[in-house]
Amino acid sequence: MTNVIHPPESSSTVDESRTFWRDSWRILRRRWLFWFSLIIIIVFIAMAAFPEAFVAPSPGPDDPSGKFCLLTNDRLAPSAEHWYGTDVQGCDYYAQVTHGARVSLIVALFATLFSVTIGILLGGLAGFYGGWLDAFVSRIADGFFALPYLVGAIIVLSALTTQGSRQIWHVTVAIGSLGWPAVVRLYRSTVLQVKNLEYVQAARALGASDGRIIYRHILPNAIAPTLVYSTIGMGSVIAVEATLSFLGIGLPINSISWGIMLTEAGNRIENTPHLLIFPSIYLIVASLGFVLMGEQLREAFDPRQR
Amino acid sequence: MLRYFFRRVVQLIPVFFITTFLIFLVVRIIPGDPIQAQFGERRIPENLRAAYIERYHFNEPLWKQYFLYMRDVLSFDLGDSVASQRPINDIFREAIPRSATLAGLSVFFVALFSIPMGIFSARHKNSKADNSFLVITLIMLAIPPFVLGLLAQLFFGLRWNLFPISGVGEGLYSYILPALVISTSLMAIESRLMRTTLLDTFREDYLRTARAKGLTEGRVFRIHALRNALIPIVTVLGIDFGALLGGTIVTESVFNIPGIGFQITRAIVQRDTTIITGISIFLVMAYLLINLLVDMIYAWLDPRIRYD
Repeated sequence: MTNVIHPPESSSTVDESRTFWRDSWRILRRRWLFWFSLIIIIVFIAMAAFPEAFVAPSPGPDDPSGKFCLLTNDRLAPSAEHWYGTDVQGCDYYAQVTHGARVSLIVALFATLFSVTIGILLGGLAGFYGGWLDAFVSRIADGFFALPYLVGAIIVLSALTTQGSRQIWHVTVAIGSLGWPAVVRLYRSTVLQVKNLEYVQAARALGASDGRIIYRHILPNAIAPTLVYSTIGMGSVIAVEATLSFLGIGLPINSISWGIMLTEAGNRIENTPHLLIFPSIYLIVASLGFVLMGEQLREAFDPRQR
Repeated sequence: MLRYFFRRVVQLIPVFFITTFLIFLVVRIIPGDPIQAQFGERRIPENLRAAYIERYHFNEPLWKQYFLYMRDVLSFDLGDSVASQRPINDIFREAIPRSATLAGLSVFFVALFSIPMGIFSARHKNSKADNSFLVITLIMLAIPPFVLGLLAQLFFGLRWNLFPISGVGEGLYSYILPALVISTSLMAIESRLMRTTLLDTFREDYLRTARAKGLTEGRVFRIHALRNALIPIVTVLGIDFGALLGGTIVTESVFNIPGIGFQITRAIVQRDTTIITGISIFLVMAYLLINLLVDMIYAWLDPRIRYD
């Protein structure tokens, strides 16, 4: 008779462990909209990283091969040879629009990283320590909110550079520096909810330092809403970057960007509508990919939806 | 109520000064000489330059410039445009009615669309129609207004010849297309809001009570659910109107409507620093006052807020 008490079996043979992230993943993988938006995002990231995979050499007015830009080919309507037609310079518009993805995604990624980093840092400190620090950070964030977004971007951009010398990183910084107050508000409020929970008190009782509590216990449990917000935010940054370029205060006019293409197109919609339609579709779909993904994450992360 | 009002006003004051000072500071460090910008490449006569400096206090230290400027602002004098020498108050008097017309019409369209749509979605929660409507609203949100404006000009203006696409020459009729463009993204947000608040209201105890009293389903919905769910949406529509009153930079530029947003775009191009500062400060004031108003309405509707 072997009445040995079996030790509890190791977790791998029991049920899959139930963590917040694993539960969310279970919900996500069942939704077609999640996969749909994921595919959109992957296609655009690939387009931004390896445009050569979509269209052979790099286009532009100084294209050496002459295959993509021929001044005599200007403003052709879409055809089998030029799927999206050609632009005023006679450049193949499919190549132009494809290469436009890079700028949009770079600005979207870095502007969002910028505002999320500052937002989490300041929002975390404000929420965790409270007091005068919280009051100070929150009032500055309020101040930023009072300023209409585009007016703010225009003012920051005009302060950073003059028209001719403007570069991608100026636009990135301008968009990022206006985005952080929203992250501060959001992250601060989640930190306020999390910091009084039992496991944080337990960590404190065990003698964990403030830094360890913030990093190991609060951050992983308060990050979900910010993650949702920044995914949706990437979608809106893509739109904002194009809007700034359209208003003539974004990227310089010789850059290959959807916003610049649309500016050109806007001046001559009557005769060459294809110049307007194709970059519009790319812009909308790219932006939609991130917004849809954010919505799916929001529903998956929200315990009340389960 | 009065105490709550004063407390909110006291909280607004530092925000007002922080924001206006930030704007003032940033506009002053915009590269380029604002006086030179008005003369292009021409040389400015010394005495004219001196007159400019005198008039706009450019020779004073920054904090004093700010102080002098705020003194004028608080007595409702925004000064003159550096570019055109016109009083900014006059420019405002022309521009605000145009932006207000656009704002009013947009909010009207938003209400017309989002309230019925939200009600429909809430009553058919998670149906095929509700789900596809979610996707439609997200598409409406993802289209940047300038793209929508250009596409609207192409199709509704040039192809189908339904609406004028530029200027305000045809009265209210010329505001319809831009107002539709502005209202699209708001329609998306507000119909979602209508759906969520209505669904929250459906779970309230007083609805169960109303049903228990034996009221018909239609009466429960109309009198008890809908009326209460409309409060937040009406408030938000009010905020939207206030925000749009400050003009919409993009749509006004696309459709050439000389409202507030159009003026600020022109001011940026012309480096008209006094107009940039003037309009920004006007917008900040408008935003803060609207927020105050909204808070007061909420406090009036929900007494718990007053004693928080």
